[in-house]
Amino acid sequence: MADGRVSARLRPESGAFDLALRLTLLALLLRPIGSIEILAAGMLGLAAAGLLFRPLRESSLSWLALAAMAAFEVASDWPLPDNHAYLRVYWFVAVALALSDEAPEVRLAWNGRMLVGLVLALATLWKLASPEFRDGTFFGVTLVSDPRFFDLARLVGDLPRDVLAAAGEALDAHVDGPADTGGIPEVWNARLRAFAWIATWATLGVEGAVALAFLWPLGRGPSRFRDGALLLFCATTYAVATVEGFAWLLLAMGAAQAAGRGWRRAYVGVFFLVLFYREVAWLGWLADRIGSGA
Amino acid sequence: MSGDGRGAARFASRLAPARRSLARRLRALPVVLLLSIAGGQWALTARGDLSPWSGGGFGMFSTVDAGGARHLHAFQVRPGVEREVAVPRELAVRAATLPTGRFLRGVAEWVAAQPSSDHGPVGSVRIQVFRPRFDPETLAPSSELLREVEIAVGDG
Repeated sequence: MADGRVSARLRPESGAFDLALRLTLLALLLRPIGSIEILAAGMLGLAAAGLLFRPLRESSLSWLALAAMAAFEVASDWPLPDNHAYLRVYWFVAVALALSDEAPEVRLAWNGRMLVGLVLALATLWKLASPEFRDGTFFGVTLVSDPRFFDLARLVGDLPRDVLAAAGEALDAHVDGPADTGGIPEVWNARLRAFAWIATWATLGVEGAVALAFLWPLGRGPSRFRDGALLLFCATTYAVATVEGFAWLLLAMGAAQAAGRGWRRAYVGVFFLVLFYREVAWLGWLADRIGSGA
Repeated sequence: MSGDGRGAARFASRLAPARRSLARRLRALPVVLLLSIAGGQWALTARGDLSPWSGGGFGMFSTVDAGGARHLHAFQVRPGVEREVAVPRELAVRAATLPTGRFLRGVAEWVAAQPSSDHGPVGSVRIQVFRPRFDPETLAPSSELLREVEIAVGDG
């Protein structure tokens, strides 16, 4: 089999490369994708088999098949798929190309660095261009009305559960035309405003820093802090915004280009930290004990 | 059997240099794909009112204007009569996320197929798409009319 040659060539220095492949497949198993059942089954089967069998994991055909299925998923549901559904396609293509390359580790590391840098650069530009993000309105609305942020809002705003839930319903109510209420002054209090302001600028700062570090020429200036910046971003952002599929994809890309065993272990650690965030309602637990409210 | 196996291996080894050469030429393909689709998403946002959250441009968590937060009204229009019809959520969200051409027409066709109040034929369907707005001081919700179209349906 042609892929056997690739496999043998990879083995001596396959640390970062193999870790990135395994994290990607594990992410597919832990957060299956697919509204089309047969595609979902195909991707799950390939992910499981790839984790168990190295030749399958190192076959460019396996990754091309995954890329084709993920691309079909995006196209069939367009324009609704989440952004990480697109990123997954690019990453699967990157792995397939790397496995056919003479220097797979170098090639995958380069694509991983560029994809992480560009994704975070685009995310930063969109936020900078949005007035309602810059003035804190986005975080204010999100904290109050997005169920994923409910416990965080209870905690930082020191708000009882029922008051916050009522405010969330008020924000969700559709109004044709101009506002016909006075807003939610009892919830949009000084504490929540201050937190929204901090979250706004911290998000811009950390996303911009990751983008800069990953797009900067390797080994110089901000580039030396790229692993730490990405790990900090994932460990903090996804503690609240439970979009674990995106987080795991970024971590797999980060692992592909990680400089050294220590950073690779850190990527694995944060990968499982994100799993912890998903499985354990730690913010709710904290809000119940510290906040005002039951 | 073993002869076939050796043949396949020879064929694969002959293909390997070509595959490596192709992979070398396409090495930046993932980056090119990302930038092309992000560029297309930006254009659709600017010209077609696509929600910045959608379309692969990585504008998520930057605005309250997510496709699912938009609101769509659809009305059957007959001479002298206009009746609002509730549209299935998936159809409405898709059209609200990108309120152009085929998605709005899809809504219009579905609405036209529903029985009208007097069981007469529907001449056209009027569709309004609103995007959410919030007052920065009070977070009071409001909305802004993003698109309003009337689409002729059926024989009418």
